Amino acid sequence: MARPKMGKQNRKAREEFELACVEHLDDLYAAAMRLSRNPASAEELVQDTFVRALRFGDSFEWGTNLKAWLFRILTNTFINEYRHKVHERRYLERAAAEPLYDEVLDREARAYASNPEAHAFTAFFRKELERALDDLPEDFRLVVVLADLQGFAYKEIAQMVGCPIGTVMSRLHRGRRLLQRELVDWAVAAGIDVKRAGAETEAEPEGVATTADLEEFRRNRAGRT
Amino acid sequence: MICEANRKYVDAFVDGELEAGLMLEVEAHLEGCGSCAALEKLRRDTRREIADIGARTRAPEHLRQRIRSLPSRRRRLRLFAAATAVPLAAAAALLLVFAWGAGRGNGDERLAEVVDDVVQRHARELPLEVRGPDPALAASWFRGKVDFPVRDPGLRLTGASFEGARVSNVRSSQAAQMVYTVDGHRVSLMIFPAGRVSVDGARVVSSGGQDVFVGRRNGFNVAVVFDGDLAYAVSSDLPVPRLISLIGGMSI
Repeated sequence: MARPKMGKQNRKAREEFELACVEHLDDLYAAAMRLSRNPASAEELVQDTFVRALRFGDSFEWGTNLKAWLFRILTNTFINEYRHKVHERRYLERAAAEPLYDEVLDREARAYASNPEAHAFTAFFRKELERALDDLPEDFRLVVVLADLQGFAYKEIAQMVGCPIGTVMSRLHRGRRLLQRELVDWAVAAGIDVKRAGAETEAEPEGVATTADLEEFRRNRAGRT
Repeated sequence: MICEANRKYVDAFVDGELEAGLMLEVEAHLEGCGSCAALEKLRRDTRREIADIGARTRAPEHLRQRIRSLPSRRRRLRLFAAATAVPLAAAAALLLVFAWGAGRGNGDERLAEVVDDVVQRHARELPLEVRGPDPALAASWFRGKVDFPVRDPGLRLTGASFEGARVSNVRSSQAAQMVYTVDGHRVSLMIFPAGRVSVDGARVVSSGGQDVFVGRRNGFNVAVVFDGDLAYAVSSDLPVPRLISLIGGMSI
């Protein structure tokens, strides 16, 4: 059954819709800040998002997720008008080809989990995570912001970004690993003993699901039993 | 080998994106594998910290003003509507104050009024602002949005799957509304400051040493418990005993 669209007829519904949109302003601004990395651009991006949301408000279907709808507009606006395509594409390729030092990252993870309160990573998280996030290439940053900053599901992110779920998973995985690497770099800079022995290159072509798809997992599992 | 296979799923596990069977399999692996469990904890903590960055960021006031002025600039009709609506709203607010004053002779809001409000909010099915499946993430999303602490009430342990949450109201208080599905029925949990609620004359059931206040309105049942300064009210068309067991199973 088709969901009712808001239509033009009901002024009260329209006003409720506009008020409901404004309730998401902080979330949209928080995401825009991380995407555009400066307050002036973030404000512009959010304002453009609202202008479009109000213009296309008649197409919003009541009962569906308003926040996801607004973020779809924000994401499209960002992708089409705010990103720096050529420069970013090169950076993305370079970042995807760089080694991630899996062993070191795993050792860091173990040390962190054994004593998270005392471990320096905690302090780094608070202080540097924001900057590490801003330093991620845009394609990775976009999915990390949508998933981790805003808590959207893979399926919703795929719709917002306009790519398959496998690509969302792969970019998310890669983005989070890069983030972890940045944090390790700071740990090194701060004099924490993190040796890079056993560095491993992990350079999958972008778009391949490094967190393999569920079907593959089931096949592997079936093969084992 | 098994470790490698499971490790690939740590991200999806932390994101709550695995189907139930796979979730249990990875969970079982994490219990016995320190290395994967460490990775899982790091990912989960990182995710929470990033969510915190979002929760801490506020739009500047001038942007809020600019956004609010967008619709009114677009239509003169709206200006007219606003001009008439404001005095009407002021008059309504005044009436409300008088009604309140009379009702607060004993200093409190009655539980029946809270039940009315909880049912109304539950029945309207307004859009969710944050989606499941992770209620802990939703709980942290409320930080800075409501002026009381919201913790994950752990309802999923009682067979509820978390759908999402939104900021709502119960009477004069802000409320955190968390929506679940239990046995195919929609269930709302409202968390709100309990300071003004009077339970005099309300129907009360004792469950596991805890007083549970129950009410019914328009075909919906409501069960309410109080924990310190906060009230927790579940509302659904499920039978009262099921609501009592749900609310009794919360880890508050």
